[in-house]
Amino acid sequence: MTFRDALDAVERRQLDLTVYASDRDRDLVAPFDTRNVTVDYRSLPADAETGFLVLRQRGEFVASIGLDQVREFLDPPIHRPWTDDLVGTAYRALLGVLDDTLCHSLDRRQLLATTREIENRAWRVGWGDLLVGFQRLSAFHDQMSVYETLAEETDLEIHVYAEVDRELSGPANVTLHPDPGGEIGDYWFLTFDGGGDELQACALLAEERDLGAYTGFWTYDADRVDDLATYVRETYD
Amino acid sequence: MSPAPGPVTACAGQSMSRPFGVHSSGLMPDDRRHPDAPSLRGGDVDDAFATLRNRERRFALYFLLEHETAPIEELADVVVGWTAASTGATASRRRRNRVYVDLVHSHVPAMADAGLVSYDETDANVSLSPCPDAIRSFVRRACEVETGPGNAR
Repeated sequence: MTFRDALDAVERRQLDLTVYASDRDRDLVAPFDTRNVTVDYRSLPADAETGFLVLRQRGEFVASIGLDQVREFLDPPIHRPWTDDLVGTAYRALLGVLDDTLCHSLDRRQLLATTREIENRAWRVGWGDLLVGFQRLSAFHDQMSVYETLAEETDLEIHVYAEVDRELSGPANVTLHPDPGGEIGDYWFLTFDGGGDELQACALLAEERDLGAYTGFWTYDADRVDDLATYVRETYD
Repeated sequence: MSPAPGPVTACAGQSMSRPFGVHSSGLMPDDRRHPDAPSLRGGDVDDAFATLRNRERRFALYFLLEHETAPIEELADVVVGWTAASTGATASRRRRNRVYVDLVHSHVPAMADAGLVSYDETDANVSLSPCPDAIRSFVRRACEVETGPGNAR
């Protein structure tokens, strides 16, 4: 399995989204409209303040989420991974609803918010394997203070994969895996195995298909997380 | 799993007018009055309020105000999604299925008895009944208050 296989597998999952809202919010979820996600609109009365999104698979209800939460997802707040602010936010709720769904046109800010959610989980669990891919080593250096804290204050085993665009250096407790130039430079990924608790396992994989625009998914499926982590370790360790 | 023998249109019968002293035109600022709307009968208002004390019933009716007719399956999705969103929550499949069962066994039959909706068993659609304009006006006003700007979350 390669990164591309993992994206393709998620893309095959057909999902139907219906936006229930007054007219002004009908286009809010356009970013989710992809080959395997259909987006429909059904009106609510013009006064209705709070719209919502219903996810269905083969006509069956999967989950619903308020459009306020969708809005927060599209413009997420960025927190440090160890702040409690992150826990219980609407953002987390949306991640739980839209997991295993391929999203297009994700920008760096959205990916960073999802990344923080995974780092926060790893931080709270406090041990286990956290594998993190940076497209460039310099991007890792921008996040260095976050990873220094994670490495110092937890028992996590942290592996960082990055295409080398500067001299190799990093915190003492982080294992660096330089990539001479290939796949790693095109993908943003994290996997956390849950530290022995499968319910805490999570991963993010996104490909930069256009400059600054990513296509990807996140998952809480322990098997999918394990497939990704196994592929990364097999290929790059 | 049949909520009511359908179609039921308890509201659409003969008009036994009562001296309410209120002209429905005065209660209906909007222009969406039903052409076959019967006039108000004794007990209609009591029945409507008693039936609509339940929040899930009201939200189902708000959706029918917009669309007139909806499959009962969709109505369950809407009621659970809308009520959850108004308190900033997501809704799970389990919660949705509970609402569906309540709609089938309790809410839709009760609203049909009160003359607010009818249920067509053959296509599993719930439709707004041509109930008195005054009742429709109450429901529309409740919808504004409960789902509109500044509603209590």
